[in-house]
Amino acid sequence: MVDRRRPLYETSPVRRVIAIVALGACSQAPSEASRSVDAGAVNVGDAAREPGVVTLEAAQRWARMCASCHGEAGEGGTGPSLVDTPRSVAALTEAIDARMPSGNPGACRGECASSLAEFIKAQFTSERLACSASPTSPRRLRLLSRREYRNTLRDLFGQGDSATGDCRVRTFAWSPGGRVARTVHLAGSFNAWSTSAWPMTFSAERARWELTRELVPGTYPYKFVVDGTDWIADPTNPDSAPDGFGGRNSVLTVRCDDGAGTVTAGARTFDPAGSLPQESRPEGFPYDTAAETGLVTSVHVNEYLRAAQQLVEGLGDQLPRALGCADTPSCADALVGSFGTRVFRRPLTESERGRYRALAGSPAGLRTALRAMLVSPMFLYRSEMGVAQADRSYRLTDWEVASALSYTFTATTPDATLLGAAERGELTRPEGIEREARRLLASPRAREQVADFATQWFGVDDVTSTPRNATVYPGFDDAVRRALLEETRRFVTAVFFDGERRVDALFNADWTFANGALARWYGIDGVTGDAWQRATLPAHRRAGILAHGSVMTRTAHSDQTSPILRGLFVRRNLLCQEFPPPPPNAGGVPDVDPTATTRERFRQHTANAACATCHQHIDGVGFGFEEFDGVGRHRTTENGAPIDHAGFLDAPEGWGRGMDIPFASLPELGAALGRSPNARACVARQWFRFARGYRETALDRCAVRGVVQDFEAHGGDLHAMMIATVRSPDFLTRR
Amino acid sequence: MSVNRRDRFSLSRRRLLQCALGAAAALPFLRAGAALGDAGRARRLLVFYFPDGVAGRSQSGESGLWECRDSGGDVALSEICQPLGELRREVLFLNGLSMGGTDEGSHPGGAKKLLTARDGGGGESVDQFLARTVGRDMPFRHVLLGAMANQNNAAGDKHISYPSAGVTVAPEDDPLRAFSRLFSMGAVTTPMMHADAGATPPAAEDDTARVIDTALADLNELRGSLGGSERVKLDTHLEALREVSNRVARLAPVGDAGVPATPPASTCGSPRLAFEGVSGMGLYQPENFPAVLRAQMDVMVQAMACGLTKVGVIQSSQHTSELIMSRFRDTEMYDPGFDMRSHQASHYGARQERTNRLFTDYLKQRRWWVSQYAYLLEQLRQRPEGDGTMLDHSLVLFCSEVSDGNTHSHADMPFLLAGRGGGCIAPGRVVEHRGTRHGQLLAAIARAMGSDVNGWGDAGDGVLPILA
Repeated sequence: MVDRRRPLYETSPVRRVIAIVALGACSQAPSEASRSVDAGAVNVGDAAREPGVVTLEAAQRWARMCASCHGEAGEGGTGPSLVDTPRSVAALTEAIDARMPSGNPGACRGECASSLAEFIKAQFTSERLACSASPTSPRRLRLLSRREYRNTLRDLFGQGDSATGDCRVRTFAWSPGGRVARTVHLAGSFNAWSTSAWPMTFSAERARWELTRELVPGTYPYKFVVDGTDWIADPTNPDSAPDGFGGRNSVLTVRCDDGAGTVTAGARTFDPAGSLPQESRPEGFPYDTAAETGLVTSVHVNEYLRAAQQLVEGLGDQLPRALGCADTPSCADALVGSFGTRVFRRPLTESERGRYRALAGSPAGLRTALRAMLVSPMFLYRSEMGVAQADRSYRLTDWEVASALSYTFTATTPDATLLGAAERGELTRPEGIEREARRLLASPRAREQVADFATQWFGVDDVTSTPRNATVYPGFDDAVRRALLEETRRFVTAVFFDGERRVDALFNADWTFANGALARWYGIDGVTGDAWQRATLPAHRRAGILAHGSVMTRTAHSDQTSPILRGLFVRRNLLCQEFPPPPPNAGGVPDVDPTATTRERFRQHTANAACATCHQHIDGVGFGFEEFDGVGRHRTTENGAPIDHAGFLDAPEGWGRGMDIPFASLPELGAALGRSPNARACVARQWFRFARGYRETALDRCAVRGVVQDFEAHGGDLHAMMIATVRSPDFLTRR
Repeated sequence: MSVNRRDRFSLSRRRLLQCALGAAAALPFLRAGAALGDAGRARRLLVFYFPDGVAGRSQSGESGLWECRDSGGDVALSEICQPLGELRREVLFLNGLSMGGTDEGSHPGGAKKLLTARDGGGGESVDQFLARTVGRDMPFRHVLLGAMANQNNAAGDKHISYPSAGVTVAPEDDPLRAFSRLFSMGAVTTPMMHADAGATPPAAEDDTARVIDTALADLNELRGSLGGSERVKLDTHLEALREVSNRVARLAPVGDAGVPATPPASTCGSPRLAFEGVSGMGLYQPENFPAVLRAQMDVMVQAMACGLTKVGVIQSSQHTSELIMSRFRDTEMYDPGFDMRSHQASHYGARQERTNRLFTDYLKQRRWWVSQYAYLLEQLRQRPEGDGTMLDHSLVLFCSEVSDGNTHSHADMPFLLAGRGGGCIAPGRVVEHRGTRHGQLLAAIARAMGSDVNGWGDAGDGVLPILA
């Protein structure tokens, strides 16, 4: 008998469908169900011969040919729902045989059609798909992504400023000593020396005034302004320059290598993740947090060893300081004690203590032991294995929850507060989880994490390198490319953290962030220089992220726009609607034609009946973006002809639900998406995928629904959405 | 010259027997420490992948322009295969192999089946299998290099090498990084070598072995505590640690173990890499692609010449490729005024029309991929090895994920197999099949490498009868 809880069922479409079978059957007779499912998984022949038992083959066919339109659990999508369908097996067979799959009819005839018809009738009943309290997420060892690995090392060994997150994020602090101050502001070249723009807040805990800001790399003179009039240099900053008034300004230099984070250990600054292979992800899963596919290859081992060596060499004789100890014996204690707990994100077991203590008998041995910890699987994977419960489910430990919260919200190792809460047993209780989640969300790291989430969600990371034709798109240089990416990061961060945090702003905001380069590119007046500022968008043109240059670039080819990629961006990324891949003989992108507009060239898609099956749902949306070229600039003509940018989004809520959306400009589309229950829920789905590391399965339907309800009950507050994903009961349980 | 070599490297009766027998017969040779010895079988497998197929049978039924045909004992090269020229005598032309009907019409579906021969990539790929079996005692069990293979944050379906069902690994896209990793033997305590400094083993890594042993102890404890859960992950991790552990052991001065740290100088020479000025995002600029791909081929050939690995995969770009091949300078495709992407050209339409630029550019592109394969073969042929050349002892597979780029067909796949596989293969001829599943080719390759598989993939047992 195969253990029915082993994680067989996620990620690949086939496994997802088998999960439906398991779920449906479980709600009726658990023991019977597990047997028939396992029989199906292990021995297809037997299952296929047994009448009434859904065959694995039908499940695979469903996943391959049907699920993208009808949903994994038959709940519908761009195709109709088949749950509780009144049609008979015979009628379904006939319909499939004659007309399915849509766009490629004839690919499933005879036995294929009848097996699917039986599958649909047997599986997609509301009774079988009812919610249950059973765990939905599989037990996992989750390999740290490159981002997580880099951040983790930085936070375990980082010093000074680098411990406050991304190198751009800086915390300013002023300790008043005995002085009583009413207000303290931070003023400098970064905010035009405003004495009111950047107020600092008093931290009673640390007895100082603080402010954390993200700064573009550069050199900034600054001072603190106490009670509006008293200008004081930063006493903790040794760097200063004359202020022109006979005194000195403090000077801060923010220097970052774009795209490559670094870790500083003693004298050495390096990127420990720079040579690690890119994360392996399932098809269509955009997030580097992919939980199932993260494997350690020998290349990984090589790079882990190298990074650990560099780190230990860099620390040199500062190693005891990094570990918080004095001499070899006390450092050995720290290594298997307080510091070891930080590295493994839980206290070491007895045998681990023995193993590492045995290594750490000398200064050289101490270095060896530290290196060993940093290539240990206990460090490289974060565990979501849990502890077995009486009902055969598993429950995460407090330590595992600490890691889950920390990596979910801040992409790094748990801090001291979190580890303390875990030790006190507070993290397996809802109030402890929520308290810590809110605390983490308030940190600068969370802003960074959400920006990374968004760039992966929208697929815009590579806007800095994706090739463009310089003749067609002159002026699209590195500065513009970086500005496009930066705009998206800043905009999304602001929507998620500053102001009302309402989800609809993602789609309908009439503002963005711009620096001089971006403003010139977009044609926004009044913004110059390198500094980023909030800017109002020209009316009736752009809205939310819809026309961000990063998105427009990544959904275009090197020398032309692509209504298809743009339509699919709205469908897949923003509405979580799936489409099957094009059938054979689909044909490619129409040739560039200097006498026609893109809309004219693509018209054949909807003129040809076979193409139209899918493209009627795709191109009409994409055409609505035509007033933006392949690098995000606004345009009114193409090849001398005026641009027609009327768009049409049908079935935004899925087949037969909600109203179609004709739109004359993107702000109209953005307003509609902002109201669309499906678009709003899709934001939560995307976050769920990013946080859990897999695409939600049929099993997760109820959990996702719960998150969305919670989210909407809070008026679409994005923090409520993120909190709901960890407050959901299934966050703690595993199968 | 080639005639002489062919004579020297004729198929002996002994070799024939061994190729047909499979692993059992090979074991005595391997046990004798003869990883580089002449065991009458292929010493290495090199897979050369390119995206978006070839001009095969067109949508309107015109014959493909890919297949080469027998011409009175010689091979008549097709229009696309012209760049092979005289190298045709080193190539086995495999016509008519099929990857089966599942996901036909799909690029990702084809990429998943290509080396696994399983629908949806539902199993280990043959390269990974050979790496962990016949290649397991090599310093590097598997070398996976790419040229722009990770572009646009590629998801796993873009990659072709599967260590386990449904999971791919990402190729190394940076030749300098690949070179450093390989020729420092993965050393972790010494700085990276200069690209021209030769393969001197670095100083002994005193405690790295202990570091790895500790990680192994932790890993075994973890495996024990988790029962069967996450077995694939932990098994892969374990094998990775063992591989690196073996490598570290070899870095120690050569002792009684008798394992040579470097192979014979005649084959290995002094590794060097002529590749400068391209790094970071430059690796993803289409104009740099030819230089990157060439550098990766040079790295791979030298790694194999130096006995660092038996199994190598070079992945050029990725399926449904956005690679702008019209930016390749000094090629017949070059046109700075027009961006012609690989996938774009592959959809040349229902007919082969010489007036259609998509079609003519597609032909030029496909010829270019063949010319790259020819370069790779030539590098192997120029290096003497044993009683012949490296190519004589190698198998070099040329493959893509679809046949005709416009129809996306998975029938009549464009596969070539070069090299004599240590005498297992008699190249220089055309083998015609009618829909035989390509898993049989993968099985034949595995057997030529010394494995005893009887088939590969979904289609079940069967070994393509190409082994001598």
